[in-house]
Amino acid sequence: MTEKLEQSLAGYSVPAKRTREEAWDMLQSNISGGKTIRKTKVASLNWFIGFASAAAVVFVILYIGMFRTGKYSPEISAGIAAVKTIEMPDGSNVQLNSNSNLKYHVNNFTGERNVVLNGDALFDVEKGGKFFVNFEGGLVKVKGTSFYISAYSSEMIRVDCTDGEVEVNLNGNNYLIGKNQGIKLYNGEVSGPFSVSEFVVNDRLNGVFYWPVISLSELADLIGYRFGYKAEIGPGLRDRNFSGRIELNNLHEGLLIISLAMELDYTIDEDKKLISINAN
Amino acid sequence: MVETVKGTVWFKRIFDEYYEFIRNYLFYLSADMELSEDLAQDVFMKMWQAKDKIKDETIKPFLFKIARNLFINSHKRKKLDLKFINTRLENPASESPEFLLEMKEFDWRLQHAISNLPEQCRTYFLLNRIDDMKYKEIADSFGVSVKAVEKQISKALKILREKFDRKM
Repeated sequence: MTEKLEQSLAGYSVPAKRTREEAWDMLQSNISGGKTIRKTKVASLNWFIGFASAAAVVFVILYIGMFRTGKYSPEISAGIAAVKTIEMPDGSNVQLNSNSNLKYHVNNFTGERNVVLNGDALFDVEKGGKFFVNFEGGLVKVKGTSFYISAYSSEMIRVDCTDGEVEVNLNGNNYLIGKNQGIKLYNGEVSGPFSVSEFVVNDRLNGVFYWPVISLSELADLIGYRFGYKAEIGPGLRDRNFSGRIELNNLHEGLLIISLAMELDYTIDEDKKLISINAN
Repeated sequence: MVETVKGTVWFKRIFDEYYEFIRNYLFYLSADMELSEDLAQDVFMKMWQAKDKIKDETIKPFLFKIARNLFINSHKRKKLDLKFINTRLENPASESPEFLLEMKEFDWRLQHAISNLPEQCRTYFLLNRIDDMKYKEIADSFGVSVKAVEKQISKALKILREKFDRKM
């Protein structure tokens, strides 16, 4: 293992944008142009005390306002096949996947963080107060950990944990999943825990999905949600399964690959926003 | 023309000798190359301004200290996500797609694991492995003992090994 690690490291270099000569030219021009360096001022004590008192008053006013109203951030959205990175005020990081949106609230007094999610997102939660993710059909509760939630609909929810532990409430029942485990709800039934790798989970942000096995109906629903369509599959196809890796950054390409792999036909009705998958 | 003791020629020599170490050190701290290159400019401007007050033997620790201070003052707190260029993946020999996929996954996990190392561990380890700085040079740059450098680098290796052994 050490040898493999060292071999990889031997190939590493930093992604520099300027050569040393370019940096030198820039430095010369900065010096001759009299560019100033960012400075951190050290305030005098009296000024500091005055500022601190004023800041304390403002903080109390703001805190009371926030605590009473529990105001959420404006809704943040990621477009079709796009990823939006959100840095929350507590340092937690959320990467919102295709056709998803969320809003959040951080309680500065209790440290409690509340997120409302609709869609897919990868969370990297800073340690601190309780962190809740609410979505239609369930709730996730953590303290500091990394996990991925897919919750476009209360009919189809999946939670994968890549670090720490995650408490998941689905259908009114609580489940605890650990690192590299996933759980899902589909068609009113909860199943899992499944074994998942961090690489596979994070690759979803690149639009790349992998399943050892997934039913065609579940796959069609996911594609539909991801691109903002409703999906229908023909009679007799509900029991068909798909297995493997697929890139879902383009609706037509994704459906084409599935239809070729499973010998199916598909149509897309743009007016009704409807995908229909049928036998060949 | 006779060059004054601490004029442009002297400054260029110092810049050539240390610029890449300082820029890379800032990258290991921030994982942000644009910020690292901007801060590296500020580090050398500060040095130019203070050139008459700095003794030659303290230039290296001075540069690293200024770099870290500038980073702390400019730093927006965020989780590190270091992304290196891996020449082994960019110029693969005639490897099979399966092997390349495995290498890519290993590389991704390694970069992620390095990003999660504690700051001192991470920076000493990367300066040693990527910038080829000897333990003694790192010790001199940060005003610590060679033993302390050894300890941090061993700690980094131990964490990485444990992480990978567990996953294998």
